[in-house]
Amino acid sequence: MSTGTPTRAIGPATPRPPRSAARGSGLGWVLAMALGAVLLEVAVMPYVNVADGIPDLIAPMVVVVALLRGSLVGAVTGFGAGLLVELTSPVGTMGVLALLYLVIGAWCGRYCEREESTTLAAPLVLSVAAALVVQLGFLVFQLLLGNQMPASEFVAELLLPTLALTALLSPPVLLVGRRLLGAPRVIEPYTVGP
Amino acid sequence: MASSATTGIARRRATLRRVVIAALVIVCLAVFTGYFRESDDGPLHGAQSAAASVVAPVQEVATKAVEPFRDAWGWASGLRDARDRAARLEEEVEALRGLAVDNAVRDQRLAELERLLGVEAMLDAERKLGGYEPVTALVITRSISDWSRSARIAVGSSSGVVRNSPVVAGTGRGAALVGIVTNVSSGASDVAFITDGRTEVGATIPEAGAYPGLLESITPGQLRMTGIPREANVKPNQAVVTGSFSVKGLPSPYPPGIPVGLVTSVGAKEVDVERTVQVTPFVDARTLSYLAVLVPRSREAIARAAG
Repeated sequence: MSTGTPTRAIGPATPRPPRSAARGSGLGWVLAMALGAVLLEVAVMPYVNVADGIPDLIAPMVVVVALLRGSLVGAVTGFGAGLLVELTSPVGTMGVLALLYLVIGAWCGRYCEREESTTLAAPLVLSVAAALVVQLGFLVFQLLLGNQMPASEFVAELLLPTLALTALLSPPVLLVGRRLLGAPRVIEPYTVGP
Repeated sequence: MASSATTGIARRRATLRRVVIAALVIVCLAVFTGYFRESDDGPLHGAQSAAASVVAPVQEVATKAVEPFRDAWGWASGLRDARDRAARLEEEVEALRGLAVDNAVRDQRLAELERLLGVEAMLDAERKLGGYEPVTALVITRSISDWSRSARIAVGSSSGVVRNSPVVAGTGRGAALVGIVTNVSSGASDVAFITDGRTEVGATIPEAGAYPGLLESITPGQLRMTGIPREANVKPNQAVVTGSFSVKGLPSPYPPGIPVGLVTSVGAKEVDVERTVQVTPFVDARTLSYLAVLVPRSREAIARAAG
């Protein structure tokens, strides 16, 4: 006798929690993501260039960590990843990228646990904006050091290709981050619960 | 009661978060201020060298692991220009065939004149790169920023590399200058390319009268040569080589005669006393996987590197 409503013949009686939900704070995954992103950025990305632009994988990594774990974890991750890049790549600075990624992590963390953090569009836009902030910040720093580059060269050869490549390569980073870290949750001292 | 406790915890959390972030900002400011104020032997540069030594083996493995993907990307991106390059290269081959015959005759005459003048010993030294020993090195990483055109290679002080060792790469025309070693650790070295904004090279154009000039980076991948007087007979396609003279009161760390690039344009206004010479390097160092470091061995070469 059919009631007209579909019934499930097999399957669990209660819905399983999503597989992507990380147990605990997921800080181990944050560390693994930061190390993986730095390794890829330093060893692979310099060869994936269009004109003089190189994709920025650190920016989406910091953005997704900040969106899913809050300002404090985002800022510390940005600081650590930036410093690690400056230690392992012959970039000629120390503390500059660390500061820029720290600011990005602290800023993007404000959107944690808000509606935007669960979408894909907002992190993607934030990743490109973060890459833009890093490029402009680095430009200002180089100008302060006395290094120069024609504005047209900077925009056409460096900035636009970097942003385009970052936009192309950000979605996989964001998806991996969401898969590993699960639902957005602010992690800070005095945080209660698992 | 519970509400005030929650508010108190929230306030403490916010305060702690701000304190940590502010502390990290101060650390960043302190680090980059210290980094640019200290000498190249300072503790922060030392930490960078130590980190380079530690991660160099990891980077080497990662670089080799992703080499096929890099090659595939390079092949795909190079495909676009392949047809144009083939046509251009065919024209060049025709021109070079004629030059090769001419050069063979000149070589023969030069050998006879050298024997007459007794300068064989000097030229032998030149053939041995004037007291330098070439050490081949794998490029393990490059700068992630175009502001710093540099790379890290997998040889260091344990292979005899010292700061200011010249770095060359093979081209169809022979070895050409790529850059100079700026930082050395035991197992890795940093190379600043000649197209890096911080690098200046004392150079000359033999076909234009061998006037001493200074090469510096202007735009990504291009060099400008200054100090060439108006009367110099500079023309496009003339070769630019390193000079042996001092630059800004400092001795040049480069041995003389290493090819650097070709003159691509020459300009001079009526009021200028110098010519504006644009030079394209023979080698785009960013595309290379291997470089050769010229390790100074002779006393003269070591003194040149020591500055």
